[in-house]
This record gives sequence, structure tokens and C-alpha cells, in this order.
Amino acid sequence: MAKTNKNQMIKILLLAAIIILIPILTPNMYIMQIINMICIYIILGTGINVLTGFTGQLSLGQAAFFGIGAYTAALMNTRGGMQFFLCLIGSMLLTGIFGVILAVPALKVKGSYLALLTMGFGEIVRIVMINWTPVTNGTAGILGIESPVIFGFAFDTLKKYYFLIMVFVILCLLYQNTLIRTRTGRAFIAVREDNEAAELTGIDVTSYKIKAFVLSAVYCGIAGCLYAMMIKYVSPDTFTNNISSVILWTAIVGGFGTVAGPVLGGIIMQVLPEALRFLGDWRLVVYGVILLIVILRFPGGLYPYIQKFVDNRKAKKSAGAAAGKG
Amino acid sequence: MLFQQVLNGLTNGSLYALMAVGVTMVYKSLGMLNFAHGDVMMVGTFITLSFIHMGIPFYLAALMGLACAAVLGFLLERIILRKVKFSSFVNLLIATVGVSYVLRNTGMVIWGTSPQLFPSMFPETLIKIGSFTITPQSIGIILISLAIITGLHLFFTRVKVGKCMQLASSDAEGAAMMGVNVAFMRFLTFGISAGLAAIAGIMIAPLTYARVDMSATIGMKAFAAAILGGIGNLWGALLGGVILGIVEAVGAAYISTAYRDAFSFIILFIVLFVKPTGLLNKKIENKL
Amino acid sequence: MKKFVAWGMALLMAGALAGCGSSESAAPAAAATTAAAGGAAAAAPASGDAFTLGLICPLSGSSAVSGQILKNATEMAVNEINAAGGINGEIQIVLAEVDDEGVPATSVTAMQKLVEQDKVNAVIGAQASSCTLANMEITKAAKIPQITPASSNVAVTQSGNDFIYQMTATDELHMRNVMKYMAEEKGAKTFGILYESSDFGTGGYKIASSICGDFNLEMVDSEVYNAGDTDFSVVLGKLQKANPDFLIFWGYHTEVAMICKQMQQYGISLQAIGQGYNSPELTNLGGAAVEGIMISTAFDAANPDEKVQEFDKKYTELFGEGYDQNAPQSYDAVYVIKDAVERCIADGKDYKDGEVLNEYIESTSWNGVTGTTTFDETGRMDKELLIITIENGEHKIVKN
Repeated sequence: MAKTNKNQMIKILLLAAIIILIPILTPNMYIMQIINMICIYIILGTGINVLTGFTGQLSLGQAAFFGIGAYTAALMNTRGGMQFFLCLIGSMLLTGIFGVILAVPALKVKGSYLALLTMGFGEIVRIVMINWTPVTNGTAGILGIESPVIFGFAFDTLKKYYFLIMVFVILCLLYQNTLIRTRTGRAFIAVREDNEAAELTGIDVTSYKIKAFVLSAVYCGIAGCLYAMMIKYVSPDTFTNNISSVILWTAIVGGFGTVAGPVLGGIIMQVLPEALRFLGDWRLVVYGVILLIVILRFPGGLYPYIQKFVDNRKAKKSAGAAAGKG
Repeated sequence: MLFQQVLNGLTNGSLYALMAVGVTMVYKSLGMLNFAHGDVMMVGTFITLSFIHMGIPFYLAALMGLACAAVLGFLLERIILRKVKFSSFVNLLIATVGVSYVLRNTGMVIWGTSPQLFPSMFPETLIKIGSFTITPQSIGIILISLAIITGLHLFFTRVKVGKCMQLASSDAEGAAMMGVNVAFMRFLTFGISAGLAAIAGIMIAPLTYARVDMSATIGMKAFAAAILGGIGNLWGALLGGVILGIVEAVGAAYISTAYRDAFSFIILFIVLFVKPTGLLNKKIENKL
Repeated sequence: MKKFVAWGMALLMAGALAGCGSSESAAPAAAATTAAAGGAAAAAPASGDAFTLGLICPLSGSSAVSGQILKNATEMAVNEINAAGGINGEIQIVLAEVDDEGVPATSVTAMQKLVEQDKVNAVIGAQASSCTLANMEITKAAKIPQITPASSNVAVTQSGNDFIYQMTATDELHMRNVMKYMAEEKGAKTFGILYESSDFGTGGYKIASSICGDFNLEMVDSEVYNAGDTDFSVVLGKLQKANPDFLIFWGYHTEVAMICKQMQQYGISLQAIGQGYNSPELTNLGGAAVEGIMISTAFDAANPDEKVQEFDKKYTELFGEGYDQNAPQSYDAVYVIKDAVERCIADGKDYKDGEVLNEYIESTSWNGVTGTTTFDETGRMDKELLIITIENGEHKIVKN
């Protein structure tokens, strides 16, 4: 017993060391930005995972929540002069509210219709961003968002910002991990598997669906606030349908219904297009084809396959050890 | 002003209807929306344009473009959708989203991102009736769309192959038991749906210029129209398309031009909320 | 449970470092290939000393055509200078290009790449005003001089940024040109304005409403459209109803071409004049419908001036298709930078120090294709403007 605890401790310390080392080893700001974006997409991916991976509600409109979170933070900071924590709370609140707004009609539909509904929601939000000029400044976007200042410490470089984002990544993943093991998490999975059966076992499907929508929206809101304060600029063309697709792929490619899936997905989705730059014009086409192949060949995401592979290896090892001993 | 807008609405609506028919056919057969439909339209349009630029006369080029689109539809069904069908539904939907992405970006690489001029099959001269101007384009689009949809209706109800297709869509097992090659019927469905999309594209491109992002707005409106009229229902697609077109045009004139594109989504929301089966469908028809 | 998180994080690290590794080796390769693709003569500077010039413009998206023209002209200038031995006869220019897609957020990250990875000494760009307004914060912070040959929004030079220069006429200058011409030469009294909802268009609208009084012009109607719109029947109908003497268009060629077509369709025969749509694509897309439209511009190939004709010949020989005013302006921008560096070297100063180079650019007086370039203290360049019209598909100068 003590040995496994010690093993756990070592693993955690190793992990912490790696996390702290990353910004130190990063050669330049461009790479740092990519890493920070990976982290933001991990949070986004976790958000959609709650809704689609665990609760089975397909959403193609997550970019809307991402955008609402970003714009809320932007407005609260530039117009209201508020600092990080207030902006964060504002983003979480507003996206939560919109999560409910989307959830209400979404309760009545499923499958393709739900996907279409969420897509439509995403488009409406984007059109409002473009046209509600007095508030959102239209296509010009909002400039001059300030870096977060917490207890007098300014996170004004990408490397410092990395640590701020990482704190949230860890918090979100830990929360997600615990969530699965609670009643709520199990209820989500029950809803995904079979609505009617879930109702029969006394689960209030409606309330859990709403919770899922709200939770996923809030995750995206957090990501949006972090994004706005990193790029220091928000505009409507950042929050398009395309981005909703990318967010969905982050969860799918990584691993639907797993906690670590979005981590893997986030890395792949951000690193792949950069790594493919040498292809020039054909870059995005190849990117799309690769994603298609992954979805077709590894339905459910890469992470479960990797997990299985590792488990198989371990099983073989211990079987071998047992055979060796015996 | 009102009449002009209604006419505009009818024109656009006929195009939405054509697209909606394609969408509804695939939905009936596959049980889900094909998110790559708009991009198939775009590809068909551009292939036709390329043929025209090569010097091939318009109608021949259009026919060839149509054929290419149909082949594209066949290929998609065969290569991608068949494989994914037995995986989960979500994967199928994602696959079509992925295909849409690949098609759009391939289009950008091959044909560039600037809008291009597309020749019209109708003469440019205007017809004046009182204080209103009507373009032959508008009349042509409305009549052709109507003709095609009527033709399809006859095909599905009178012609053997058409009837088999209908049967295979609504009751695959029953059809199989009667000796209908269900797989082949699905194959055909995709091909025809793609061909319809190409025709719609060829008719709309002269008005909006051919552009690789055509799929974005028109694709979604096609879905909205199909659902509004009642998914799986041919005349529903026509009705949905026309209503959508008119509401959009009138709304843009009297409420706000800037939010024009939002009308179709708002309608979608209302329909899904109030009567998800659509206007012309009676029973619940939501397979997945 | 910790195991999953642990695996996740380990993968994150591995991926990130792998990403670092591959991007590290990819970065210099990328810079070299973009420079090579850019056609700059020096992938490996001969004397070991090189001037890295950044170019940021839209090479994809809806303004790709304009961006390509800007790129062509800049490359033409860079190649000419390098072929003649380089700046001061010894320093080759290495061109680092990046595509900002015409999207402000992308422009910001693209500029970061130029500054952080390519380590540019100066930047030419961007094209869209919204992009320049967004990305000039980065050059300001990094103290690197930036010349935009195309962004015409007045805010560019009015934001207190010492490192930005505007080598194109501002929207205000264009609007004054337009209004003066229509009021004085054509005796117009009323106008309607149709503008795009973007920064560019809205800027035009604001200027129009504030200065029309100076010319005794009254704005009887204003309508707005979104980029990508395809149906202008409603806005055209409203404009027609207000019965103005002429229309001002403030938008880009794709929509303006369509607007002209629809004006023809609905039988609206008002004179249209404005800015933003002076692109060879206008006649390609608009055909006969754009006959007679007028444009305010700083440069036109129809100008018989010797330098203009020479530029026109060179550009058309190399690139064929038509070009807009961004071409000669970018071309001159490269030469302005070259001139500044040479004066800096002549004074024995370090041209790689952004602040120093900036001072020399400030004191520019360069006679180029677009006239004599000098900057006022806000970085703005004064220009004489023309009015041209389209006759039989060709440009014709109406007012000098």
C-alpha cells in the first residue's frame, strides 16, 4: 500500500516538474503561444466532452460560448475597467445563462436536429456579434484588453500567462475527473446511453441535460476569458462554425467520454496544422483528411486505443512475470 | 417594394427548395443530415465553371458538372458513409462535417478564394411590368425548380426505380424482403441529391458569384427549409424553401437588412421548438 | 485516476517539446522557404549582413487579390534592390512574408511570428485597416518601424503610435476629394451613402457625415451592408427613394460590382463615386454594369508621368494582370525603407536598432512612383488625389 502511494507521489512530482519546465525550455514566443492555445483548447475540449462525450448531446455551436466568454471579459475589462477575477466570474455567469437558453429548445430534439440547432445558435450569436455595433464594436472587434493582474502580479508575458492557464487546465481536469465519479457524472452517462431507461431509473433527464449544457458552456466561458486576455483582442471572425468543428474534433480525436482525451486532442489539433505548414496551400486539406481517417479508423478517439494498448502491454508483462515466477 | 421583395424571396426560395429536396432525400435514406451537402453544391458549380472556361458550351458544361457532382455523391456514400454507418451515429455526422471541411479547403486551393463570375443561362434583359422589374433569371429559376420537383415526384410515384428508392428509404427491411437492392438505392439517392445541389449552384452562382464559401450560408438554409417543411417530404421541401425565401426577403426589407441571414436560423429555432416534425409531416419522424 | 491525468500531462509535455523541436527546425526552414518563394534574391546573404523585411498582407480570404498585388509590388522592389547589390550596395534584403487572411486576430499572431521568429527589422503591412490597427500594437511594443501602404483609416496615425507610417491617402482625404469634385465640378447638392459594416466602411460613413457640411452637401440617406451580402435590392430601393444627386460607395470590389449589377437590374441610374473598390477585379466581376463609376485614387496607370509609366511597364511585364494603388505604394514603401537605412549608415548609426531606424524614416523625403513621400509628425503622408472613371472597361482620369 505504501509503495503505491509512493509511486503516486513520484508520478505527481514528475508531472509537476515537467509542467514547470515547459516554459523554460520553450525557445520563443511563437511556440509559447501555440502551447498556450493548446491549453485553451484542452479546456474547450473538456467542455464539449461533458456535453457530447458524456451526455450524448451533439453540439456544433460551442464557439458561441467561447465567444460570449471572450467578449464578456473584453467588455468588462475595457469598458468597466474590471480585473481578472471579476471578468472571469462575469464570463462564467453569462455563458452559464446562455447555456440554459440553448438547453431549453435543445431538450426537445436530438441527433441531427440537435446538431443543426446548436449550429444555428452559433451562427445567430456570431451575427449578433457582427451587427450589435454599439456593444460589440462590430467587425472591428475590441482592442486593448489588459493582461490579468492578480495581487499586484501582472501576467503580461506569454510565459507568465502559461502558468495562469495551466492552473485552470489542471483545475478543470481535476473537476472533470471527480465529476465522473459522482452521481451527476453517472447520470450523464445514463442519459447518453438511453434516455427512456434513465427516466425509468428515476433520473431527471431534463435537469441533467440542462446541467450538462450549462457546465459545458461555463468551461467554454472560462476558456474565452483566458483567450481574450491573452490575445488582447476579440473579433467575430474568431468564433465561427469552423471553430465549433475544431472544438468538437478536439474531443473526438482525443477521446470521447474520457478525461485525458481532450488533452491529447488539444495537442493534436493545434500542433498538426503548424507541423503541416511545409505543405503550403494544401496544408488544411491534408489536415482535414488526416482527421477524417482518424475518426473513421479510431471511432471514439485515440486515447482509448492508446489506453488499451498500454493495458495490454501491462497485462502481458504481469502475465509474463507470473509465468516466470510460477 | 413589397412585391419586388416577394419576387426576390420566391427566387431565392426556389433555390433553397432544390437544395432542401436533396437534403431531405438523404435524410430519409440515411436518417441524418448530410453536412457536406452545401460543399457538394460548391464543387459542382466550380467544376462546371472550369469546363466553361475550357471552352465547352454552357449546357454541355452544366451537364458534365452535374454528372461530376453525382459521381462525387456516389463516392462519398461508398467510401465514407458506408464505413461509418456501423459505428456510432455521432461519428457519421462528424464524418460529414469532416468531408465538408476537406471539400471546402480543397476548393480554396484549386479555385482560389476570390469570387468568380458565373455566366447565366438566361438572357440579361429585364422585363418591366408596371413599376416592377422582373429578370428572366427569377422566372427561370422558379419554373425550373418547380419542374424538377414535380419531375421527381412523378419519378418517385410512377417510375419503378423511383418507387423502389422511396421504399428503401422508409422501410429498408421491408424493401429488402421484396427483393430491392437497398444498398444500390442508397447509392442512387446520394447521386441524385448531389446532382440537385449542382443544379441549384449553377442557377444561383450568376447572382452571387461563384465562391468557395457558398456552402456556409446556403447549406444551412437548405437544412432549415427542409425541416420547416417537414423532413422526408418532397413537397415539404418546396414549401419550406419558398416560405423561408419570402420571410427572409420581407424581413430584410422591413425589419433589418443586416440580420437577414439570421432569419433562417430563427425560423429553425421556432420550428424545432414548436413543431419539430415540420409543416407537412403528421407523425414524429425523428429516426436518430 | 491520477494515472490518467499523469498520462495526459506527460503526453502534453512530449507533444509540446516535440512541437518545439519540429517547429524549431521548421522555423528557419520556413523563413528561408518564404523568402525563396518570395523571390528575394538572397536566401543566403552574401556579405553575411542582411536586412529582414517583414511583409504582412492577406494572401487568402476575400482580399486575397489585393494582398497578392501588394506582395507582387513589394517583391518587385526587393528584387530590384537586391539585384543592384542591395541596400547601400552591400546589404541584401531578406523578405519574410506571412498571410494574415485579412482577419485581425490572425494578423496579430502573424505579426508576432514576424517579430519573434523572423526577427524583422521593419514591416510593410497590413492591408485591411482593422488588421493594421490590431497588429501595430506589436511593432510598437517591439519598437520596429511599420509602414502600411494600404490601410486608410484615420485612426492608424491618430493613436499615438510612433512606429507606424501610413503611405496611403486617408479616408478623410479621399472623402474630401470626392465631395469637392461632386460639389464643385458637378454642382451636386444631395447624396446618399452605401457603406460596408466593417471598420473601413463605417469610417467612411463617419467622415462623410462630419465633413459634408464643408461642401454644402446634404446626406439624404445612408445604408449599410455586410461583406459577403449578395442581395442589395432593399438598400438600393431605399437609396433610390431618397432621390439623391449622387451615391457614395465605401466598400470593396466584390460587393460593389454586385451592387452595380443590381442597380442596372433595377434601373437605378445614379452616379456612383467612392473608394475601396479600385481593383482590376471590379471590371472582371462587374462587366458592363460598372461603366461610368468613379473612383478616388492616389495613383493610376493612365497618368502620363514618366515614373508612373515605367512602373506600369515593369509591373505588367512581370505579373501580367492589373493592379491597384497598393502596388506603387508598397513599391515606394520598400524604397523609403532602403533610403532610410542608407542615410542611417551614412551617419554611422546602427540601422538594426528599431528606434534609430524609426527616426530616419520619420525624416524621409523620397521622390518615388507615387510622388514625393514625406511624413508629418503622426506618420501620415500627404498626397494629391485623382478622380478616375471607367470607360469601355478602361480607366480614364477625370480630375487631376
